[in-house]
Amino acid sequence: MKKLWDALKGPIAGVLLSLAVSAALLAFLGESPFVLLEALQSTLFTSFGLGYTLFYATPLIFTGLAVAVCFHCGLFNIGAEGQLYLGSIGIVIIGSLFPNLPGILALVLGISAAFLFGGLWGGLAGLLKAKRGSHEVIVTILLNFVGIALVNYLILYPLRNRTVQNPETLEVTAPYFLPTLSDAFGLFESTPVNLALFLAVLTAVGAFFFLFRTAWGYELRAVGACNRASEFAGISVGRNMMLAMFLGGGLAGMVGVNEVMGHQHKLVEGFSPQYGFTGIAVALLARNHPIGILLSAVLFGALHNSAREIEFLSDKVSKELSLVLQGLIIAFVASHYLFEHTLKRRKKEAA
Amino acid sequence: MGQEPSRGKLNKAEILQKLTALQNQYGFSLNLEAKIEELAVGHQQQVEILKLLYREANILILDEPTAVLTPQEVDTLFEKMRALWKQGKTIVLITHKLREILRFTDTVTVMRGGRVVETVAAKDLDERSLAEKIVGRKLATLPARHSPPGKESVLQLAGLSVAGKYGKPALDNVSFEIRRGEVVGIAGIEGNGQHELVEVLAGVNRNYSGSAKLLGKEYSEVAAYAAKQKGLSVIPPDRHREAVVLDFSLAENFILGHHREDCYGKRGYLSPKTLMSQADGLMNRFDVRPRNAELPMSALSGGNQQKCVVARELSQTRTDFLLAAHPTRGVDIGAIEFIHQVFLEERDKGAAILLISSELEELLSLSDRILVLYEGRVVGETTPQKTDEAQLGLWMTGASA
Amino acid sequence: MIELLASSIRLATPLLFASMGGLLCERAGVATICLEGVMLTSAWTAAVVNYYTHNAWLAVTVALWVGALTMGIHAFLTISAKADQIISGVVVNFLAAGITPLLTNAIFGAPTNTPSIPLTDRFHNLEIWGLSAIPGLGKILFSHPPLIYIALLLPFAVHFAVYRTGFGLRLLASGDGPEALRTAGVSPGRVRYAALLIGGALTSLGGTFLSISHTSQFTRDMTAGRGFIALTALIFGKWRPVPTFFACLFFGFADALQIQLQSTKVFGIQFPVQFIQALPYLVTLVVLVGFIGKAIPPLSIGKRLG
Repeated sequence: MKKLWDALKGPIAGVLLSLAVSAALLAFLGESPFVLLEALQSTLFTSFGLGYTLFYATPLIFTGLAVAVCFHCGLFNIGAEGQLYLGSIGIVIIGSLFPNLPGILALVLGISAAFLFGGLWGGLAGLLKAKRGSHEVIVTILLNFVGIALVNYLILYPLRNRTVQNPETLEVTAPYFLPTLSDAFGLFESTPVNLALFLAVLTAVGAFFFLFRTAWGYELRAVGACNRASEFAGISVGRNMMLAMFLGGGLAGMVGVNEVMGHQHKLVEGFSPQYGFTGIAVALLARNHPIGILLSAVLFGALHNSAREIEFLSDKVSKELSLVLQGLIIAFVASHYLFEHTLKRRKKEAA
Repeated sequence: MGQEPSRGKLNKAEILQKLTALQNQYGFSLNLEAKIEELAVGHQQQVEILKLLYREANILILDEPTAVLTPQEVDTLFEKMRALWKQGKTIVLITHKLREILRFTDTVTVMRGGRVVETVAAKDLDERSLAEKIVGRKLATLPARHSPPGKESVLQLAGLSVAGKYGKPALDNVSFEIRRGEVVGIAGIEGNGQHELVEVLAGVNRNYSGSAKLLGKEYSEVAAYAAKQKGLSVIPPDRHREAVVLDFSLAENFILGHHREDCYGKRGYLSPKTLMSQADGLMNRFDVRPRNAELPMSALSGGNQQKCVVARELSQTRTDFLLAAHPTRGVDIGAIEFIHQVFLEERDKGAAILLISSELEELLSLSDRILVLYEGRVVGETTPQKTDEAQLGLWMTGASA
Repeated sequence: MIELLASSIRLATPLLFASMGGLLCERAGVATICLEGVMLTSAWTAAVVNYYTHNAWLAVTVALWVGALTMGIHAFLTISAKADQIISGVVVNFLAAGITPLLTNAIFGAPTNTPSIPLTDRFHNLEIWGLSAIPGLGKILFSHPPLIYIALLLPFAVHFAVYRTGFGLRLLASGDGPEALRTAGVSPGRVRYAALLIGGALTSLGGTFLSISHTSQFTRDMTAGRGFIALTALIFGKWRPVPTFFACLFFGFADALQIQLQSTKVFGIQFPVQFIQALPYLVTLVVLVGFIGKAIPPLSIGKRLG
């Protein structure tokens, strides 16, 4: 119990401090400082609000894991944003190639396509890192621009639905649909949260098991913690880096399962409100622990949902508030040294 | 640096002039225009002292100044320091080399566990009594050899060469073999090919020419991981970077390099229970403290970390070949004694041991044969009975055998 | 062709400022993936100050301070709070990307862009007397707004500051051997603070150039990855000022080419605009992967001070 509290107290303090700072910011912008708390309350404690919050949390679980798995291998994956578009277009491509598959096969194929397309895009960065020593931060950032341009091209030309004005692809066929929770269980009426949420939770548990209970996860973490020692232990550094980036890309690609299979059934240009970048905040707040990511994804889902609500209600605040919140939360969590250090010094002075 | 004569543009001539005056005053003869990396380590050490003089320091604190020097370079360094001492400078020498303390200091302060234990005049001490003050108990003597080395050759190197950085080979046509139950020591100033030798023999670098065979199998044909299951034990030179993963728990560190074995769980599953019980067993056997396998490796002292490494390497599989590079560097005297005993036990059980060390005393007391590496070549071979530190020191600087 | 080269120089300018600012930070041992964020806040500041005060030079000055302040957050997080340098960089990028549209929205009622600055208030092209009349070359080199000349001279100034001054010596030591600097009695933390504040100020000029010289307003996310391209230029130039200068010119050229290709047919084919827009990033990527090889960064970059 004490261990759990020790792990949680830092992130909780970070979140509370960030909320306080953003309340001050809201006041500065001429808005009531409590508007964020009110919005948070409705996004977490009403059925409709929570439905949307969980719908936003689902992709964040995937992107959070995408960042965390790479982080455990010592790699910083800023490319989840590009990878998730690649994964999403993968579903649309497979869906248009094999429209008439029996239900369960279509679902498996769609999910695999999302993982594989995203994984290959991420794995490309891993390959360049392992073979050429190119810094993965810059490579993944650049691959974001290239990947998103590529997907936009596919949306606008070969896969475009020409019957509508909006830049979007044709719909995938019914076998590829994942039912919403409202259709399946009558939960969260008229919100888009769907079965992809369960898939995300399962994936997080799987990621935990992989990282901390298998020899492969062990190797990946050993490379991340100390790659020279891993070499002496006979572990291939390059292969594990490629594996980590492949898995990271694949996990990010799974965002498409929520968006395409669970919600829109097609891919709309620019659908992601920077899920990939928010994944960084999700992972850092959870200190890269897969189970912690479940909690932190729900929190960031709620913050995103709240920021949208505030933008809708207020003419003084736009939805970019959530970017500021993310920045603040990461800043507070990442500078835990400062707090621990000051606390220790206080204690010493008191004693 | 930190003492630039003026703000703004650097006045190189002025600095050079002042340094030359200092060189003359204290009898240094360094090339002031050379880049640090071009200088021999002995000279680099002198640069450090010149730097202190340039800053007009009156108290010089030297922390392990001789760790990488040959006996001859040590003599020169201490000669220079004697000159400073005569001119009224105070010198504080921090070192683990007992002989240096006895030879060069007036007063000795012994520290243990962060506390001052005792302050004594150096002339009242000898090596053994000083060592016992440091560990705080009587020291055992090393066991004598029970049986002569076996006949079977475990490690065979023939014409082993590794390319170096600046066109010169880092290892140049090295050939020797080690038999069962034999300890071969490698002496040499650091940076004369030891690093490259370790990398080949640990299976980290397969990019070599010539031949390196472990139990008849060429290194380049066996995966490093597989070699570790087949009787290869390695104690890498840089403990923090190469031997352990500081952020991992002790339990996790104990399986590093053996993590794919089935005994920890089937098909790649790692059972936390098995890991913990194995760790507890090893920590008892090798007396690792504190006995808590969940602690991260970084929480342990250097001596206990090294005990973990030794425990891991010598417990998992039968050891045919033990590659030990600087196994006692940064380790307290108590742990050194323990590690040496474990090595000799392994030797008596039939392991071939290659001991690379910059501590000539260690080499002389453990080895059956000693090879001297200089600029990547073996320039001399001898036995502890036929040689002494001065002789080895000469070979280490390239004087022909 | 002349227009293409002149446009290359214009597009290289923000990269030059950002990469020189980044050079100071990285040579002092602090990884700066937050050049993007620093450019954003200063671009916003310059646009707003220029709009309200009608004074471009005042806008440059205020933005200079805001740039230093933004990089100051990075300095505080990495040096005082000992946060990871990459993570801190992400923080700054997040904050900048969030706060600029928030303030735009609060002041001007929409988050997307600030109002356009009237032509009379903006920088004008400075024809260097006599030289701008040289056919061809004059138009490429000597007929630009003032910030561009500063950008073109900056690498040489940085070269002098880094390699020929006491501050430069400390800067290099802080990046390659902070412990040695500490034993010499100089606090590497202080050197890093100084380097980051100055670096932030230099980087700010890149953002300022974008919003009040290259265009006439701030638009949301207007830096569009230029901070990262500047960083690649820095790596491509092996962290040395003059080679980095040429790398920036090269990337500027790629960007200029991209813009020209959008309106021209190549071999009679009009390429989809998405591909052409991705070109500068693709070129950067290919350069990074293909030609740089193992660049050796400042030795202690990314590491916390003890």
